Amino acid sequence: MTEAATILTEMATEDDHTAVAGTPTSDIVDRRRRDLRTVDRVLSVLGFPSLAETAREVLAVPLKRRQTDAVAIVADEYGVSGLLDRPGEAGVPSAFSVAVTDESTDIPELTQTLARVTRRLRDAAAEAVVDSRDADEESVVLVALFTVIGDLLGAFGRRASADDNDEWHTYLSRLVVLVSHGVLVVAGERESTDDQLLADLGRVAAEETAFDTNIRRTETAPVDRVRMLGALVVYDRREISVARGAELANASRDQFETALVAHDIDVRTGPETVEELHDGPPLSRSTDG
Amino acid sequence: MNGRFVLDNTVLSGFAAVGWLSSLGVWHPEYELTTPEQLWTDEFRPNHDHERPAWLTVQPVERQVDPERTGQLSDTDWRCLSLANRLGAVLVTRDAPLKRRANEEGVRTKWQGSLLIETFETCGITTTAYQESVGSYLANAHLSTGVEDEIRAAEK
Repeated sequence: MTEAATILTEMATEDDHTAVAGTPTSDIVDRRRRDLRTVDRVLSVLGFPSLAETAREVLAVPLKRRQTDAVAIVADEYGVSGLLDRPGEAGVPSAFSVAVTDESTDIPELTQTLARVTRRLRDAAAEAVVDSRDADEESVVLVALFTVIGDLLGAFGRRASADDNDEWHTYLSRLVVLVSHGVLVVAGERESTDDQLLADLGRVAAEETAFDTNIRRTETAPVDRVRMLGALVVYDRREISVARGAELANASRDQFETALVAHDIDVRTGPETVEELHDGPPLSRSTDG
Repeated sequence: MNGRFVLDNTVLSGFAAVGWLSSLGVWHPEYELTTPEQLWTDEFRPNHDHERPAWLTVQPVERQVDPERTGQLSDTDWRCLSLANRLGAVLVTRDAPLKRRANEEGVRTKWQGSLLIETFETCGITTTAYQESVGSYLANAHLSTGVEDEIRAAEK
């Protein structure tokens, strides 16, 4: 087994950390640094620079040009030629070519593995929301960030082979920018409530029709879109009250409940059965009967 | 007095949205109906044009949060739970996670739908008003079909 295959096997068999009790945001980041290091080991084997190094390059570009320049920066950092002009014929570093040619590294498998890591990050952040009230805003943004990255990664296989190069390029640019933020958050170099992170994430959240995410353009400010998305995902994946979801979304109870319905998320109201409906102390007036 | 009930925002807003809030007064003074002051001031009043009815008492409540799964409930959910605990009252809600959590904490609970039926049956809501608005009420309550049918079919 090659080193790359060994690393992938290690990642695929790692314990799921979603059931960690009392994990504030900093703990999530600490725990996920191991995943980041593992990904960097994969990249190193393939002859690529580290994610954090590349992420810093991407996010150093001014906000206005970031989305358009993101892929070119990554291509340059990773020594990939022709990515923008002829994505189907893009040249890649030799070590990467060898790995693919030897079939020791399955690109879809690698993508799925990264998506799995992202889902674990999302679930850990959602769990942190339920376990503690200490870092609500940070945790709910992390939930939103890793949800969107996961959605985009999940769509990667379908989009990467699409004939529409413009769509493919747009998709990849957004993924690169968001992953760059995520990498630096996990690396401990960026706060999850960083203004630029919220701006980039909010922009992608507003473009849901172009992607396979479940985000809807119902909120205006980027931070509101991000918090609403994070709160919806937490409500969908953990048992919290509607009022708590509204609190996380910084919205009214009615607004949050309306958003739940709009996103086809079951509202946990009760009771389920007629028997349960009457399962409580009855009221009666002394004048009754 | 026959008992105390703490009403959460699902009850107050659910009844107010279809014009039935005043109907709850039918239980006063035999029952004490109360809600946390923070809920009334910060959550209900900003969204509803209602002065506080005389039958409803509001009480300031210090938030007491159980150390387990503190993020499961909102700030006012915790205050409702604390108030019901302090008064030995029954907490009325239609939120399932809040009700489950209250039961875990040893607080007695009652579904909002059950309170609605009893309020109608005890003539707090006229038959005409009930028939006119029960559809709107149910449209926003997100209940199972069986429970919806039970509420729709209530009779005096």
